[in-house]
Amino acid sequence: MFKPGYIVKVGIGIACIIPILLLFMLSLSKNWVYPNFFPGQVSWQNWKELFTPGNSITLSLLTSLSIALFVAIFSTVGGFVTSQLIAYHAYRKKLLFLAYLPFVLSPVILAVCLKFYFIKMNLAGTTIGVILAQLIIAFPYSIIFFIGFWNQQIKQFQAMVNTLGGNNLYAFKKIIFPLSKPFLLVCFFQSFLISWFEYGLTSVIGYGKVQTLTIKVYQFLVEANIFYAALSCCILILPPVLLLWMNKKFIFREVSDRVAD
Amino acid sequence: MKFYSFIFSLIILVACQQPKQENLNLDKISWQKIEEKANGANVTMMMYQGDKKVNRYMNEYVVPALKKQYNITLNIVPGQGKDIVNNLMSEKEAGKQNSEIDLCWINGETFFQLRQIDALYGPYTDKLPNAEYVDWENPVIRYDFQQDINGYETPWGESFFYFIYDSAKVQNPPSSLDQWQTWWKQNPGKFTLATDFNGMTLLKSWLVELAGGINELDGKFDEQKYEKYATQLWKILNDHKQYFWKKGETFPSGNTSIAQMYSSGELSFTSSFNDADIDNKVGEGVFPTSSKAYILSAGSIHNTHYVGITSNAPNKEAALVVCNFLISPEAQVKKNDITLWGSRTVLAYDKLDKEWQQKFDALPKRQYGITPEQLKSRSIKEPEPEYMLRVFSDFRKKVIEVN
Amino acid sequence: MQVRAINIAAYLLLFVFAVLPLAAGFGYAFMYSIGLTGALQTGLTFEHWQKLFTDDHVLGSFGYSAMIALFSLLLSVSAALFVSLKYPRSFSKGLLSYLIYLPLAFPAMVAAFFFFQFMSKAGILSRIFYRLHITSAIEQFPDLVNDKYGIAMIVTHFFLSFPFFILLFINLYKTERIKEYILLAESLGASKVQSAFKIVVPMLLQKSLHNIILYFIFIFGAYEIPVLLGRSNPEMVSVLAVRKLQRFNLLDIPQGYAIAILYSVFVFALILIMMRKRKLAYDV
Repeated sequence: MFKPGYIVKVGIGIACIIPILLLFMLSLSKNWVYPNFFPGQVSWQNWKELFTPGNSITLSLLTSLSIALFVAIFSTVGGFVTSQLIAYHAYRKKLLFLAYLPFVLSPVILAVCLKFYFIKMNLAGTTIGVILAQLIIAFPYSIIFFIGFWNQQIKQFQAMVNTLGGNNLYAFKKIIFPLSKPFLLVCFFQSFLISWFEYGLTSVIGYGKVQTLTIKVYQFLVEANIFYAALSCCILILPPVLLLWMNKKFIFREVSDRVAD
Repeated sequence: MKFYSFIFSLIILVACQQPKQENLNLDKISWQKIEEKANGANVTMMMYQGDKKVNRYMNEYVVPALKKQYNITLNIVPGQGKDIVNNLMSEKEAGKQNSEIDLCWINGETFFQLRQIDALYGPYTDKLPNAEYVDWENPVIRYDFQQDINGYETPWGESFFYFIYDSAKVQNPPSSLDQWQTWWKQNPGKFTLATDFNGMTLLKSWLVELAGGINELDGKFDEQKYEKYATQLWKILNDHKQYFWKKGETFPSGNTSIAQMYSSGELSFTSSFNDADIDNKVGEGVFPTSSKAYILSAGSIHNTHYVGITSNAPNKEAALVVCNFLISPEAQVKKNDITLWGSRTVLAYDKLDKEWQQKFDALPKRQYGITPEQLKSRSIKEPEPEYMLRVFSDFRKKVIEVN
Repeated sequence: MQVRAINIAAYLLLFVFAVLPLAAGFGYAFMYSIGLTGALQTGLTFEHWQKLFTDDHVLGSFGYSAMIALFSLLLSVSAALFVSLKYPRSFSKGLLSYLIYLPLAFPAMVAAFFFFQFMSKAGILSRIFYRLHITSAIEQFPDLVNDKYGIAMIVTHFFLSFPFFILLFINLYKTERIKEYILLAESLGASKVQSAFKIVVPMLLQKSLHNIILYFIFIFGAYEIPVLLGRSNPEMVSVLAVRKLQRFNLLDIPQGYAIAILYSVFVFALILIMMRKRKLAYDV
């Protein structure tokens, strides 16, 4: 029972679950004075306030949700189309290099370099501006993700349909789309999470006017309002945890251009 | 394809949508007209949001009151002085006609820099009906860090800098720099300062002390004098920072974390620019009841905070109405109330009607804070903003980055 | 016709969301850094670039960021290798195979917030130590947050990357048919240790190298975690660049842009190295 292997495994399991439990505890707390381990007051008060109209955390939740949905849809569809072009292109490596760059750069640094243009286009401080800014990382991610999908086999299927007299639309409907469905789904959720987790671009391009949940968490921290910060954190990790429950694949973001399994 | 072209045309459309800002001529418009034009407007105000009480005053009183009385929607977005300057400067560089920010909470070096890049609208304060109650004769209000405000910002409240300690743990709180040096050596790890305006104000207080009083640093920024006293100060700090919190190898970025560490007992001192801070925090049970406020031997740096209108504010009428509201007796009574914000009013008591004088008199009294009598002889004015800017950059270069 | 339209759209998308922002952002940053644009432009000058290389804080910050990234990865990759080789099955089935995904649900901001609450002097760990009478006063608890060695930052990055690498290695273990190589080696007389160190570990590392490089880049440029858990000196690169770009001294802005460019060039070089080692699916 207490073999080293068992201890290691239990240890890892506990380390994975404890942060969520403690954040949840803090979100229920008021009055948490050192050196008490448990808070002086525990209640659903903070959570209940979420349902009062005009609550700022609830508004942020809606902002985050709509931005993330839009970013996810657009980058999944756009990335799917663009990645095919790149995958079959003679200069595919060079084109893919272009997609990697915006994806890996530190979002805040990218944001301060781009802020000028966003202001110029009257997009700074607007939701559309934040969506466009987030697409600069989510869309390249989606390209990199789908590059692994377009292999020789798919190309051969397409060619086969063409020789047999089917057009591209037919090939897409009958072969490519069914094959790509699971990929599209995974890419959608991952792009959703990229947007959902994003802080750097959102804070700089959004001016603090577009208050997504991550922006809110930071604000609560500046205010030293740790209980509200913990509450917002709980809401932030809720969607990925739900996705995990649906399908583990949805939240494992391996950035890969390797052959699909 | 249609979808993409839609998106692109959308971008281009948004990009080109820059209606030229008409400059509001205050001589030709009546206040009533201004209020009419402000009706239904959205106003964005960028301000420091590191103080819970201030946020509550804004969110629970100012925002709903503006909506109710003037049908103005006030959006508050977070940002300290440097963020305001940075955003407005980027907008200037991009040639943006309609600023994303209408109002900002500023003073001192931020006012100085915004004037430098011509990002403030004005002069306008004469036009505000409630300006008649403002205590303009008071130099602390009329001059912001020794700069004549010239009608470019609305006085909003007075603050002064004071220290807080726990009398149960510290018997004789150090007041002069000499006493501090002894105290640091005897109590390692229990003191630090933040790299925000609170910490910088502390450094300025020490500069004043080294200079033998504010008179020496009065007037235009003097490089030689600054260098003379600052060099002494950096030396003292470098010689003693090993006794600071975390051996002086790092400093907290905000006063909020210092206040938190004071309440957990990790630090023995905190400081504040908010008059009512100590009363509030003791009341909330955050600070121990044995907390006491005191003034350092240099004196208490005393200043006013202001509200500025940006030069490219899309709706200046509404911004004016908000400014006027913020200096109304009603809003100032609430701001003075220690259960709400607790900063001192900029209105002159004698100019107010009996009714408002009574309301000011009826406010709950401070229990822990500095009394006006204590403050009277000890208050010192702010040196020129350039001192602040230099202290900001030199503290980093000559203390934080020196090992 | 239809295909052409789609192709044009694809090029356009790539241009608008990848090429254009990079070119425009770079161009602006570069112009700013040599004094040719900005509200306080001075005219062509290389002074800000010179300062970059003479001021050892900038290069120090690059070195510091690289150290934090290397150290976090060294810990998480080796721990993940060990665990995934020793207990491969525990992470593909059962409760643990779910729990191990939980850290992936944490945005950097939340992870940083949690570890601050967990490891600071007034934090959860310190309270437990106090209750267990290991410490009797708050100052006896060691500095784990905003500390000299970046402990809190490394722990947070470890928390986020360790499960990622476990899952990656377990995936590779399956898809690259490593089991078969082990059986082959063992039938040829290799010991368990030999086959692990001579075959499995090199294979896994080689196959995951580009993921490790990418992770290095992410930690190197991280912002939220160092801003909450790091210290005022030295700073990680992103924090330094943002501070230079948004601080009171307006004359520091050009240098901030110079730092941003230096950082980007470094990242591009790493990506080039990474790309060289990769084969795309279509080429296989």
